[in-house]
Amino acid sequence: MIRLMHFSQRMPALIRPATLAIVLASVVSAPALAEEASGAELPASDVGTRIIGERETAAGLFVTPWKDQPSSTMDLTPQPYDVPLQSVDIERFRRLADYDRASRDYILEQSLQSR
Amino acid sequence: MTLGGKWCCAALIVAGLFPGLSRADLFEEVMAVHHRAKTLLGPQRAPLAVYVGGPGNAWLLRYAEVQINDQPPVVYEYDGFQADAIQRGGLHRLLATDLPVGKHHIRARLVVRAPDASAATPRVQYDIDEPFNIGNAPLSLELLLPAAVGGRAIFGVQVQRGDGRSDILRQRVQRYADDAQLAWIAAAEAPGAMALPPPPSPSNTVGMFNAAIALINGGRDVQAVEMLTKIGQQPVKSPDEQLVRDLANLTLGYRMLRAGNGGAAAEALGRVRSEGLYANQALLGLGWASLLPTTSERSSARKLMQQYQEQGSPAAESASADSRRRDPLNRSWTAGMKVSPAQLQQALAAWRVLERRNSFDPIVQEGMMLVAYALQELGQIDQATRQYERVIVRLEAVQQRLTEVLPQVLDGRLLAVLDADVQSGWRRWLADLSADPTQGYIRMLTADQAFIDALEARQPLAFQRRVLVQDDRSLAPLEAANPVAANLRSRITPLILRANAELERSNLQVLSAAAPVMQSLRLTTDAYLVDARFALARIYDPPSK
Repeated sequence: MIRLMHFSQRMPALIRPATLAIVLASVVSAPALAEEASGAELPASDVGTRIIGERETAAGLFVTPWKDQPSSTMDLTPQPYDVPLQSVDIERFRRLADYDRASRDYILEQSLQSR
Repeated sequence: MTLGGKWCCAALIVAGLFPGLSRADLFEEVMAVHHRAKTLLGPQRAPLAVYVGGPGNAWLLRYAEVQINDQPPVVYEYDGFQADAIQRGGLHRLLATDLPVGKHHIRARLVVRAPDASAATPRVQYDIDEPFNIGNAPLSLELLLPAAVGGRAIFGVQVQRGDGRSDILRQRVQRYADDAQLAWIAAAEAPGAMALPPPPSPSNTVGMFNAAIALINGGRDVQAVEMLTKIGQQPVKSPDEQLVRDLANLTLGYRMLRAGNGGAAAEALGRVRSEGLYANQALLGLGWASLLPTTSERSSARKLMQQYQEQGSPAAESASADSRRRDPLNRSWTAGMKVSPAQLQQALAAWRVLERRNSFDPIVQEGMMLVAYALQELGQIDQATRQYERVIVRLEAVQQRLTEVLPQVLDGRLLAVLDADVQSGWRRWLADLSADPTQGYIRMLTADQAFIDALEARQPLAFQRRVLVQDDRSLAPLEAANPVAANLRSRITPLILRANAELERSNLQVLSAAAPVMQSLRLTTDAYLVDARFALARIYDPPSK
């Protein structure tokens, strides 16, 4: 049995649009199922190709995106630089200072050597 | 499965054999085994060790080359920390080798310079060429640099012989390793220093800086600015204090830019060392500071700044992308302000210095674009066109280089270079790699804290594996005749597997720290390249109004 939900009813906030799409797809196939169960004679105007039954029922699944597509990064000019406001961990900072000093010392040494 | 994958699996299995052993415990265990191996191996061999140092000498040792008989020479280039360590009386063991009993020959060349040498001061080179005998006992040769008086050496290099067992010698070798920040080597030199030393205590400057950041985050800008000004002006000596002073001045400068105070911003940013880690950010800010209005106009400027900062959402960014491209200088710290040609010329002076620097740095890339924007704003369209063309060429070269090196960094070839080159003290800091303009990405990696944390954590692990493999190889010939050696080798084998596992894990940490830095460089380069091409296209085909 298919339970139809009226849209006037308040839907729970957690139901995703994708869930709603599946429910709607099931509602579309409901009249065909009801007709098969009744076994009634077909009117003359309806004679021709007719698809009856679960297997032949055209099933449609509508997938609704549940979040916005991320905007393209190609069109964005890089943001202007600002200093990040972060406190300093002395041990890590000292290491950073040592690497910085070594790099500058090396450049100085090369410049002295080349004269 | 690749070789690396097999190692990784083996390493994970072996890691399960030592569930409770931390990295520090493992290091202590390795050092204990190493010192036992040294004791066991000592009387069996007649090794020669060559040391370099001096009795509190006044020279900075830059380069040493030692050759025994006709063997290939051992060459070593000293980094700044190592040269300082030798100058303070440390001894560096440059060579350790086995030699047969008999007559031999040593040739050496030491290159030194005075600590205050200028570009015009010649370096001093010492050549040593002398025979020596080796008997059944170990022999040490200490190449001692001469003391200098008034910038001139009073003697030549002395070659001092010994048996290599004296406590003084061992202490000086250990002191060199300590001073040169090679704690793991110091641990291998003396049983008393098996554990790595605790980190040094924090300085006052760092504490003050952290307090200033807490004040800014708490909305107390006035007190924060006072504190940053104090840090930014105080005399400091150590490299970390110099760096924190630069950071304080940079933070202060950008706070002043935010407040629309160009004069104060320029003053603070001008105190940042021109070749330091934060120099590029400071130059960028100095240019913007020149564009800010005078003090009397500051309050209206601040209002405009607030408006600009309020529209910081991605949607607003996207909507304003077109207008920003049409008027690129009308953004950031000068949004909505009128800029005079004289101010633009001043800004150009700072940005022109900036744009000639490491083109892998996003700040420098921003500087390249700003130079072109400023020229365009000044109406110098031909110069601006040439600048955009130059920017495109430079950024394309960066893009191409990043495409080449990204796989090399991510598959560990960078670490292989680091491990293979033991002839240069600079390599540990990657300093010699970063000096090459095509390796500018290395400078960006070594400015990233996560990357250098991972790289430094890896150093003792690589060292302990080398020590274990070397000890295992030396003990192998003794195993059959000496049960103690056999027992020691049985301890070493699982330790090697465990050391491999730790090293493998550490390699992954280094690579996963490098990946986001490299990918971010790639993204920013692409973005600036797109902007430069758009800007050039707009000059050739201006949009209809």
